[in-house]
Amino acid sequence: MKKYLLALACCGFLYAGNIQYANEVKDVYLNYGDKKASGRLLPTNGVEILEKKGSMVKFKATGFMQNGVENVIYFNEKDRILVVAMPKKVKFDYKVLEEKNGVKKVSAEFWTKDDKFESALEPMMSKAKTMFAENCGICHKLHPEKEFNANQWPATFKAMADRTAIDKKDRFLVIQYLQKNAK
Amino acid sequence: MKRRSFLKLGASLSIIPMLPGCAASNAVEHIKDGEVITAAHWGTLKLTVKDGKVIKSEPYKKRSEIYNALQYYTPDMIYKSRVKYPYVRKSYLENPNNPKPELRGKDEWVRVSYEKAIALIAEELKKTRMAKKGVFAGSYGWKSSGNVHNSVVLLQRFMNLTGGFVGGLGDYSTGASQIIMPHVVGSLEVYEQQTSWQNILENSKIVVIWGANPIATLRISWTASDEMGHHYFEKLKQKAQEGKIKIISIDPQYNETAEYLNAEWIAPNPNTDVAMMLGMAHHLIKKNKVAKDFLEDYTTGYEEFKKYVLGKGFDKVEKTPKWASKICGLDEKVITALADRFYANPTMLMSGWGMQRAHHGEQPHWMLVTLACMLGQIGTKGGGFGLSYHYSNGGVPTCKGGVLGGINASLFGNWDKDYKFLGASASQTKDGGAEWLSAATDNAIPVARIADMLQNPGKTINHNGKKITYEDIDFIYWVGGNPFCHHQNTKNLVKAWQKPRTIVVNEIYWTPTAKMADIVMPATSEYERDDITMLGDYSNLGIAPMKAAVAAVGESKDDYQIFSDLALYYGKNVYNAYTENGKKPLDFVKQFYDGAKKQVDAVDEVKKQTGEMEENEFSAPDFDVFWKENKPIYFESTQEAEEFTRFADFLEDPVLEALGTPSGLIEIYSKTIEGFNYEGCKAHPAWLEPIEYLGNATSKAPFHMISPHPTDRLHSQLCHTSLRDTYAQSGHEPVWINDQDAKKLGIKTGDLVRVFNERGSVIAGAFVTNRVKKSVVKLCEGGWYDPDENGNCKYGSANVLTIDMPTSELANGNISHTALVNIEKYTGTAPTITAFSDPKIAK
Repeated sequence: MKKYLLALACCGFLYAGNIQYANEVKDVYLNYGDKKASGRLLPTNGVEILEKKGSMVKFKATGFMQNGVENVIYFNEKDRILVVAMPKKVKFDYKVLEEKNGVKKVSAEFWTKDDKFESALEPMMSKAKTMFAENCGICHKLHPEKEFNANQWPATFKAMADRTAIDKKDRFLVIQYLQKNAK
Repeated sequence: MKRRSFLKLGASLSIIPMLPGCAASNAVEHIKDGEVITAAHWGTLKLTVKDGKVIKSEPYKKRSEIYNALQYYTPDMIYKSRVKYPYVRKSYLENPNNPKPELRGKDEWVRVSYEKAIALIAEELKKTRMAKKGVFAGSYGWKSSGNVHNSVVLLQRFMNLTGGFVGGLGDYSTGASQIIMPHVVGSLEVYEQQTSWQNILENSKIVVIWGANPIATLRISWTASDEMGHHYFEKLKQKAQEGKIKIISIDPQYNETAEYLNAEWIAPNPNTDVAMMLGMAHHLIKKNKVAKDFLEDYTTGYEEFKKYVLGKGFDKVEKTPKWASKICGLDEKVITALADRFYANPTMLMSGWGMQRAHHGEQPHWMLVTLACMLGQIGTKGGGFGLSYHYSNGGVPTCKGGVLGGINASLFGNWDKDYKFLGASASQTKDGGAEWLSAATDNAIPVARIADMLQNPGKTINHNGKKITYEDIDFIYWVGGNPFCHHQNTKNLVKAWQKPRTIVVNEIYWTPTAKMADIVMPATSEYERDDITMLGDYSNLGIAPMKAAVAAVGESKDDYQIFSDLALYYGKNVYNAYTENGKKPLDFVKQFYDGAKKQVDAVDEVKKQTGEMEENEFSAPDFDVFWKENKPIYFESTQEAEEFTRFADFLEDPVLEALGTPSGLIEIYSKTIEGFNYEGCKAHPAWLEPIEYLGNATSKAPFHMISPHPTDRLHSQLCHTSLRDTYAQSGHEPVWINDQDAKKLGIKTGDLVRVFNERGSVIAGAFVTNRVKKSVVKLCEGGWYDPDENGNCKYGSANVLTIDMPTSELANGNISHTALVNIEKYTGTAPTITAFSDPKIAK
């Protein structure tokens, strides 16, 4: 805890309020120096960069835990839009900020490589929109973003993704774009 | 799968740079004598060209011994029944403001110059838009293969750019299933990769082919066929012969697939599969043969469904095997024995789509999934269900390589109130003075409601929890499709078709739909233009060049050319937007190829690092080499793809890999659908009596007609070729009649028969067989509609007899397999078939 405060004191000035957005799915580590990634940070979700150490950064993710599921932080109270996702067996510390109807608003801190971050969300979203529009209206008419809800889009998109020229690394970016502009 | 043979760049191979300005397909020099490799929906083809004409067509690379007749008729696809010049219907040309729409299909045609036709279309479309009338460009159909000359998208690109259009939702193939499945399993299902054939062949003990005929339907693919489906069916046959896999065909007809596989034949009455499955469910419950853990962990709503099966549901009827037997016409013991065998063995239920093109077509696949949940084999390597093994070679593992982009319609024009072009944007905006235009752009309709929409402007219908209000359509533009063959109740469509003032069709051939237009633009066939396509819809097996084999026939033009010229009529800036500043077709071909090559190169790079590939090897040559070589490139599947098991990820982690349903689980009971409160679709799968089936047949129409996809066509495509001579009976579309029924009616093979009901009649050629169930007749869809003076069909188009009503308010799919008919020997003078000849042209 002391170390944490120290780090915050040193870097707080530089990084506090520094919101960054991953532009691809990023590996997430529970601790600095972990050899194996524990989970994933999904693109287009704003996280606060707390500390930089070597090629790694520590970040704080804020979101929601739904229905007693404790290995996933979701983007909002009701939809399955992933922010940070861990396998079932992985436990991590989190802080409950608020609790309403069994849904907790939480924040948690993780490590990730200091890459594939962007400071502006808009260009990333518009890139995703373009990929969607240019690739998903070739075999059939383009389905409007509002045609499906946030829970329907991932499976709907995944069903068709192999038929498109959308690069594998960009697929979750497009999914997040669709979920965040859904019905 | 064999490792691909790498294309090596030899020293002798010269690279010819593409000359700017020579890219238009009509401008390129064609091979006079030699071979051209190309691809179509029915596979990769080798065409022999002599004196600038295609004289022979054959498969380029056979993947199995199973014969695909469709591959041999390319010369007919180029030279028969062609629309060679632009034509305008006489009354329309005389006065477009009072065009006598009742004369569509009857008037003479007048040949006009291409320029005049372009001007006429552009002016009349503008007039329609200025009058705030609706423009329909849903333009449903299978078009030709190719990612550039994608006629439907080219039309919609033009329409989006010039003020929008009313479009279509869904399709005719899977209208009901693609709406219900997202409620049940969270996504479309019907167009998704299936558990790999490798898994099936190794792990299944029973393969059920339920209402499907893959040996016939795998002749074609939506892109261009990879031809691998037949290869795996050969392997399946081998397993069956070795006694390792038992094959059961459930279908009112003993189809080509059942025959090929020597399958056990179970023939329920048409449209009664749900009752049959409910009887099986009842038996499984009573015998306590239910996968409780699976139901508990991966589904929701089973208890509600169980109550319904046991007679405590909305209809208070217990769904015993005996009850089911009465409806589906199978012995109780057949029903219970099937259920027992499915429960005891790894069983893959491969279902076709025919069962959901029926009244209440939302139910069969929902019920099939529910049955599969009770059996508890979903997500295992040899069990569960699959809705796409019969389509586009589902189950053939996906390869790692490149995927082609294609022409798209995502370019929206902004116009002011005087129809002055203000520019194009990537998204639809209602700013910039174009608001009045958007009136014509909303309210896409479920595709099979077209006649209803044309006849009832302003009517509001329910659709999957939404309301849709029909536009007042005054202009129709159709390309790459043939509604006068694919839409139900043709004679009603003829009436509905008289509502709009203007109907324009781009067509290669004088199809029934072309003959029913006001303006026909002659379109090139795919063999007359440069294009490119993927091989395989699921497999991404490779990329095939589609180099123009011959020069355009007559004055036919590429759809791209036609829409570019229409855009140009509205202004140079509209043309520039449409063509991305003057791109020629070959520029797009190269662009799409280069995009795919980038992905292939990235895969190769990884392979080089892992030593799987030598440094100087490459699998996607530069475009110029690829185009000059005129050979497809092929990719390899991965081990991961060969081990793919549908739903395995969901079983592994239902939280991270949640399904797209509200609960994230398989929904046997849907609260969403409950909330819609629809008469025709309850909150769980249920037996709902069809409007017409053998259970309510009368002596006026005692036979159930099924109208499946034809073996020797792609829907109505190829009907005009001489392939028809191999299957027609006395020159007419064949109708299968059960031998006992035929005997009673005094009908023998080759007789002309009249198939009729209150909706109309057709003359068909009898094919008497014991391969169709008693009281059932089979008349394949897609025969060209050849109207007599009363609108009845002289050739044998099935849809003259089908019903134009929706599956239910949920999906609004078509119900083409729900139709009772009568049949009698035709004793009149044999009619002259005119479906394949030119219409009357004014001298």
